[in-house]
Amino acid sequence: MEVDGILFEAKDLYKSFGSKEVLKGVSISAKSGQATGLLGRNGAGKTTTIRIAMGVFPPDSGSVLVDGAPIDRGKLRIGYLPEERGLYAKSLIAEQLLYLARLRGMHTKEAKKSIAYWLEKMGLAEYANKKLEVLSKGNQQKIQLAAALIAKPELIILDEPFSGLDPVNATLLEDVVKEQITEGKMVLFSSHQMNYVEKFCDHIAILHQGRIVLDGEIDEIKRSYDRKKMLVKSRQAEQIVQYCKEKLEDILTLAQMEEGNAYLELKEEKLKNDLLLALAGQRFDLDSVSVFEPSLNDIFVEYTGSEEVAADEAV
Amino acid sequence: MKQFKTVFHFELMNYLKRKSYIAVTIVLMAVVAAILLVPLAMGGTADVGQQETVAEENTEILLLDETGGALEYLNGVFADSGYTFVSAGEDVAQMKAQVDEGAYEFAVVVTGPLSYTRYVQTITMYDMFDAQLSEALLQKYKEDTLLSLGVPQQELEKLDTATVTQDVQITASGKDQSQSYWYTYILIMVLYMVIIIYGQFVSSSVAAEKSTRAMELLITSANPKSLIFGKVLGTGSAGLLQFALVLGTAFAIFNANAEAYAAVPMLQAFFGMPLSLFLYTILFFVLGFYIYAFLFAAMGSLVSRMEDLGTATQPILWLFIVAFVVVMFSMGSGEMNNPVIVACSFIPFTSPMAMFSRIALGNVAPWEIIVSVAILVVSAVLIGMLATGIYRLGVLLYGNPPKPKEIIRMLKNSKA
Repeated sequence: MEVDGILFEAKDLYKSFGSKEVLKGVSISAKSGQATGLLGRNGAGKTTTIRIAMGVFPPDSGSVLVDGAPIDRGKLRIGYLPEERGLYAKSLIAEQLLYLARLRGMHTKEAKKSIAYWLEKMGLAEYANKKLEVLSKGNQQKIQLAAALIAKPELIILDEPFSGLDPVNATLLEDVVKEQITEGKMVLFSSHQMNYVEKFCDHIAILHQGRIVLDGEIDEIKRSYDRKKMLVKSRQAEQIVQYCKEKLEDILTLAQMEEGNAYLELKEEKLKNDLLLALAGQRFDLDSVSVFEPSLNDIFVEYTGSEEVAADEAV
Repeated sequence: MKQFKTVFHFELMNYLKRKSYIAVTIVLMAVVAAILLVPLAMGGTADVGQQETVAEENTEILLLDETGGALEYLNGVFADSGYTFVSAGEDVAQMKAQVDEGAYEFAVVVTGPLSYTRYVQTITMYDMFDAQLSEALLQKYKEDTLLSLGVPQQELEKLDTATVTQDVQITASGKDQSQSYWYTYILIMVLYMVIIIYGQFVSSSVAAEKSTRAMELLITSANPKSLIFGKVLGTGSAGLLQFALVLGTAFAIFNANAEAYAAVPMLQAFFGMPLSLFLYTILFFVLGFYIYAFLFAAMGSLVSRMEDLGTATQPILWLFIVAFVVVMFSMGSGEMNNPVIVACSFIPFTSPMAMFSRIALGNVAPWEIIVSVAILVVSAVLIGMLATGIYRLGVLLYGNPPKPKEIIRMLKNSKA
C-alpha cells in the first residue's frame, strides 16, 4: 500500500496539429488513492491530453510532472488503456500479456502470477491459451484492461474505459478501479459517460474546446451551486406544488413538478426552515425534503453544451 | 537492453512457432535433399553432362551410299551409340516413304565425300545426330585423303589418339570464374530471396501492429529503439536460421555421399567453396538484410492499412532489384571490374550483393573490402536510427502514407 502517495500533474499543455489548436493551456492533476475523471465531449482534447501524459508525443509547450519534477517514464510504473484498442489478434492471450509485462520490466515468474490473477478476475482464465481473436469485442477490451494492470502500475490511465462494455462488465470495471483506488493507486480516466464517472470519481476536470473549464472535487462543485433549490419527494407532490403556488408566494420564486417530485426555488437560502415549517404545518405525507443538487450530467451540459459541436475526436 | 532482448525473443519465437515457417523450412530442406539425392538414386551421376545422342535401343538407319565405303566406316564409328546403318535400295522416294510411315527413324543418303541428305520425320530438341554424322564423315574424308597421299596407316592411328596436355595457371590478379560462377550465382539468388522475403516480413509485422492498434500500447511500454532493433534482429535471426538449416542439410548430404558426387564438377565447386567466401556470404547477408530490413520497418510504420504496404515498400524493392540486375549483368559479362559494379560495391544499398560477387568472381584488394564493409556497417546503424525516427513518428499517423517531403519535415520538427 502506498499511503503517502504521489502527485501527478500535467501543467499548461499546449498542442496544435497543423493549424488546429487542440490544447490551449490544459492543466490536470491526479493523486494517489484518488480517481480523476477527465470529462469532455468528442474532440475536446481528452485523448490528446492523455497521449501527452503517456509520452506518445510531446506537447508544444507545458510539462508533465511527478511530485513537481519532470516525469521519468522509466521509473513511474504506468498502466495504460489507449483509446485505440488493439493487441496481437493472432497471438495467444497469456503470451502477449507476458510480453507486455516483460517489456515493462517485470520478471517472468512474477508476470505469470499477475496474468493468472487478472485473467481469473476478468473471468477469462479459460482463454489464457487461446488466440485473442476468438474473444468478443467486450472481452478483448477486458484483456486490454488486464494488460494495463498486470505490471502493477502506480498510475493507471484509462482512455474511455467504458466504451464498448455491457453493464455487467462496466460494473466489473468499476469494482476493479475502486479496488485500485483503495490500494492507493492513482487513476486518471477520460469519459463522456457521466453516470459511470459519478459512481467512483472524486475529482473531475471538464475539458472543453482545448481548455479546462471546471476542475475540482465533485462534492465541492455540487455544493458550490446555490442552495436555494429544494426537492420535495412525496406522494402528494402535486398538492404540495399547488399549495406552494397559492400560499407561499412570499418565500418562493418557483414551484413546479419535475419528474414526479415537487421542485421549489426559495427567494433566499435562509428561508429553508420557513418552507419546512409551512409544509409540516399542512401535514403533507413527506418522504424527503432536500436541497436540490445538480447531477454531474447537468453540470457537464452546463459547461459544454452551449456551443457548437466540436470537430472530430482528437487526433 | 532488457527490453531489446524481450522484443527480440518475442519476435524470434513468433517465427519459430509459426506453422508456415516450420513447413517452409522443412519443404526447403526436402527440396535440397531431393535435388542432391534423386540423381544419385536414379543410378549414379556418371551420365550427367554427357551430351551425345544415344539411341534408346538398337536403332536401324537406312543408308544409301553413293560414294562407297561409308556403310562399314559409319557402323564402326557408331558402334557404341546404338545406331546400326543398314543398306537401302536405290529408290530414294521409297526410303522417304518408309521414314514417313515410321518404319525407320531416319534415312541418310551420302551424296559425296563431304555431303549427305538426311530424311527424318521429327527432329527433337536434343537431336545431336547431324553433328555426329558430319564429324564422322569429315574424319573419314581426312583419313582417305591422307591415305591417298601415302601416309602410313599407323601414323593415322597415332594422330587419332593424340592429346594435348593442358596446364592452365591463373595469374595473381585473376580468378577462375568457371569454378566460382555457379556457386556465386546460387548464393546471390539466395541472398536476394532471403532479404526480400524477410524484409517484407518485417514491414508487414510493423504494419500489422499499427493496423491492429497494438502500437500505441507498445511504444508506451518500451522505447522505440528496442522495439525496432528487436524486431529487425529477431526476424533476421529467423531468416538466418532457416538459411543455415537448408544449407546445413545440403552440406550434410553432400559429405555423406562425397564419393558419389566426385564426378559432378558443379557440386564439387559449390561444396568446395573456400571457407572465407562462406563467411563473406554470412557477413553480407547479415549487413544487407539489416540495412533493408530497417527501411522495410520504417515503411511499414508509415502505412495504416495492410493494403497500402505494397505501394509503400515499392521504392525499396526497386532499389534492390537495380542492385540485383547490375550484379547479374556483370556476372554474365565476366568483367567484375567495370566501373558500375565497382561503384555499386561501395554504395551501401547495392554493396552487399555487388561486393560479394566481386570477391567471389573478381579480384578485390583487402582495403576495398574493408572500406565497403565499413560504409555498410555505418550506414546500417544510421539507417537504423533514421528508421527508428520514422517509426516513432509513423506510429500514430493514420490515413494516407505521408510523402517523403512531409517525413523529412516531421523528422526535423521532432528533433527541434
